[in-house]
Amino acid sequence: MDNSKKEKIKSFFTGPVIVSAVVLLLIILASVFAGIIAKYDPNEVDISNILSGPTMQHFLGTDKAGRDIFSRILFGGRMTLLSALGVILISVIIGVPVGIFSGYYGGWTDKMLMRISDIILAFPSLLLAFVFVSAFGRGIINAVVALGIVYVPMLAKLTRSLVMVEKNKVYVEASKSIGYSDLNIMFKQILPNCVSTLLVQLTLDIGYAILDLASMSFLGLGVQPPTSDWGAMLDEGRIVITISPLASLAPGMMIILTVVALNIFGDGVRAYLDPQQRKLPSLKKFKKLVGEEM
Amino acid sequence: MKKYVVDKLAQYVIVLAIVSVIIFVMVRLNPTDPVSVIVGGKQTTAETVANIRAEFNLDKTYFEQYLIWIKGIFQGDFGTSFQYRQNVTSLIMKRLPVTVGLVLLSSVIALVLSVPLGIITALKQNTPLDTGLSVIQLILVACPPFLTSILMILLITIFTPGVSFTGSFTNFNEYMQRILYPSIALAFSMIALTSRVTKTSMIEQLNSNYTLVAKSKGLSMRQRVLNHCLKNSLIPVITIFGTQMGVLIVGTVLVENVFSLAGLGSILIDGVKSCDYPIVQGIVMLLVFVFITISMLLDMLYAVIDPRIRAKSGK
Amino acid sequence: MSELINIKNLKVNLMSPRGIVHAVRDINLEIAQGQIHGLVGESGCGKSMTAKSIMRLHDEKKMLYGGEIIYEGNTDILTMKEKELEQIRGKDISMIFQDPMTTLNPLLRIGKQLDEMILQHEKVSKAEAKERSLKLLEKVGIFPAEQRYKQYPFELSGGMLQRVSIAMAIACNPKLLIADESTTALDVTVQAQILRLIKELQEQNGMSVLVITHNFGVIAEICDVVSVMYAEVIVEHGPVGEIFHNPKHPYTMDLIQSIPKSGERGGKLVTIPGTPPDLRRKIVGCAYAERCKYATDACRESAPQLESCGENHEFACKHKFA
Repeated sequence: MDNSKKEKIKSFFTGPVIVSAVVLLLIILASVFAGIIAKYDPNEVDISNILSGPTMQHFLGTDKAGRDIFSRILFGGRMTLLSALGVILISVIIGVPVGIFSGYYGGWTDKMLMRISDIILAFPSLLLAFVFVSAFGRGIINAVVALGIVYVPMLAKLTRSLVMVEKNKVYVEASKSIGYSDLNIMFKQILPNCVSTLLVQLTLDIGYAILDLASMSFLGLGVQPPTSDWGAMLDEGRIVITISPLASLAPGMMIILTVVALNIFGDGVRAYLDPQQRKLPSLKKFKKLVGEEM
Repeated sequence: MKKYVVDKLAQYVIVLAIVSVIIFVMVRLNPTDPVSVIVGGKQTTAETVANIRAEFNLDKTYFEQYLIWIKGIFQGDFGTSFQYRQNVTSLIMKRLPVTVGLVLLSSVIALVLSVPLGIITALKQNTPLDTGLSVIQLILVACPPFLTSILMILLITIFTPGVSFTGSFTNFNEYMQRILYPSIALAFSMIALTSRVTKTSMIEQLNSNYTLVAKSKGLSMRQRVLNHCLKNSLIPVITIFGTQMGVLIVGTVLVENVFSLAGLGSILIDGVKSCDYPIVQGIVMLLVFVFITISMLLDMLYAVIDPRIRAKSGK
Repeated sequence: MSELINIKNLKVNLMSPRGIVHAVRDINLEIAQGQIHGLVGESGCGKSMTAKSIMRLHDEKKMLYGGEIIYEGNTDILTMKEKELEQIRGKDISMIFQDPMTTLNPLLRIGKQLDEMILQHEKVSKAEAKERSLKLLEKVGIFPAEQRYKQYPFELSGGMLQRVSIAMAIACNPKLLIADESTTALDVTVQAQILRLIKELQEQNGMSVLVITHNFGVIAEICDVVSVMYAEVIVEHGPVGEIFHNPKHPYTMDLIQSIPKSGERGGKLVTIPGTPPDLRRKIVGCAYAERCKYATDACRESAPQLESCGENHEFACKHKFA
């Protein structure tokens, strides 16, 4: 590996990116190993010990039904992350191919697909999810599917714009001239060149999915009791907010922490891909550098 | 310009029509029998069921029902709610002040704060002020409005106990008091996003060639920003403002829930949960209508600002 | 004849995420009153940087200057306050830029952008400003002025826009007009028209002009004096005729060689092999040594200094070509 490449990789690991990556890793590990870390069943009701506040046994305290908040955060996190991933997965499975076809073929295919996107975009995103849930019933699966579909147009439009840039490049022409099929060119030649930009967007989208899912669960349209995610926990806790703030503050902070970390990480990757966005040294430091050289 | 306006208006009408069909169909996909919602679990005879079906037009074909619904909307009649057995229009009218107040107040707060904030951070790039504000922005983007609301309630009850700011209201003063805090909560995430977009777009304009030319003409920083960059940088800001209006409209549903205000949100969510079609389709249609109308007006604004858009469709 | 601008040991250091870029290393340049001075060199050699420094147009949060730029024999532009600079920019020194399609604000009418220049520096009413703008448009050959005045930049062609830029630049009768690659983006025929226009205006107003270009043909067409720049330093300097007939620096010779000759069809296009050096590296010895066919070890060891050879003719090379 030559020096400039090493330098480039090094430039990716700035302070905020490292911190956000560690935070994300911890959150993911905590939700994967929730079953091992949690000391209590997250749904175990203990009427004799409600709203206990932080103690040695329950270090984030218990909620209004005497359930251990820490255990619920762990399992709720698993639920939240899985659902957010589900939303992204659905939007990728539909949105990326739609974007590719639309961008690559143009013409009528493009026009039709983009008109459909426009119709979906005519709804404020969560409102469409509400309508969807009203059609197919409440529950986390339906909420995930609904949001997944709501996220499709944005992703499709992004993919489309990337493909439209790529398809005019020389390598596509070369692939055509040696007789590769359209499908091969679209998915094996063009797509890999769009992946990095798409991944950045998806990192950010996971954050938005977490927020939107939390909103739905908060309104009781997402996850159904006794199962819980961070959004539903917020709703459960807010009635007792003045007595036991942790019951809703803890999941609230987890949401903020996760989404902030995702945003910082996504911005870091973006800056890595686009050196224009990289931060310059401060003027003071710069003056010193120039002074040293002269 | 004329053609642009006509094009956009035609699009607007078509989208509204398609959206109304989608809402109508989606709401009816639910397998729950409306009659059971209307009678609310009581024992009924076949005769009352037949009466109810006739009363709510459920005996007609879906196509006829759709036409009745649309015709009603044009006359200001959204049908009758299943569970309340009340006119949906009057239910909406009673709750409209809260929702409209929230949307208006929060969008005004957001707009007034976010554009100047974006400009300042763009001008103060890479200073501690910029870094500090960016951190706050980042947190606000990650903080859903209902969480902001909960935190606000917590803080208000801790620091100023006894102040009433939730529940019903009887006069205008109380009304403003009720909607002020939720509006601020709603405005926060919009401020975060919009100011961020303003900042990037302002930086782009500040680095543009025409700004350099303006500098070479002897214009001061202030003149360059206000006379040259501001107008150019607003185009992407209008776009994000449009999509954020949608988020804000739905956001009212969330914050009014936290602040226990009687707005459209609570009956909408109730309606969704209990399959009250007339309410769901009526309120969703109303909210979508408002959103699309705002988007259409913003499209017009583009043309007012940018002569190239006026010209492109003028020929 | 006295100097209008005297650039002494100018250095421009730019900040980049990877460290310092020495965009201009050590430039000495004198621009005499009433002359057309050419500054020629390959792209990226620091000539635009030098030009922008004369008006202090760089974003000073991201760079540092060194040296002096003496204006009219008494004031150093590099130590001026922003308020004083604003008085000079546009009024005493003005500039025409490279890409006319992006140098005008797309959302403002041509007329407004012209008026703005006049209103900024002179105490005249809006009506008077308009009057003068219309005259300026006609002066640079834009007809019908009244109609163009009301149009937006996207409604005009590149050549037209460059004429508007020129009208704007001469609006307040500047003492120095800087033309930074102002014809590069235009068609060849339009190029010639614009050059002729600049020359005409110079003769009428008696202003100084600094023409920045990578094209020796442009220099030959309108300049009185020329400075040749390579890798951020000036390697040769002198009257245009002298330089063309008696070049002393190998780089100048190569540049003159590479001008396509008109009327000579099918001739081979002469190019200079290699590329200019990386600005981030420290250059030891003569920067042109890598590409120079006469380079010797002495060239690579230490940098040559500018030395005089005849009236106003200077060059920096260890070899003495007759």
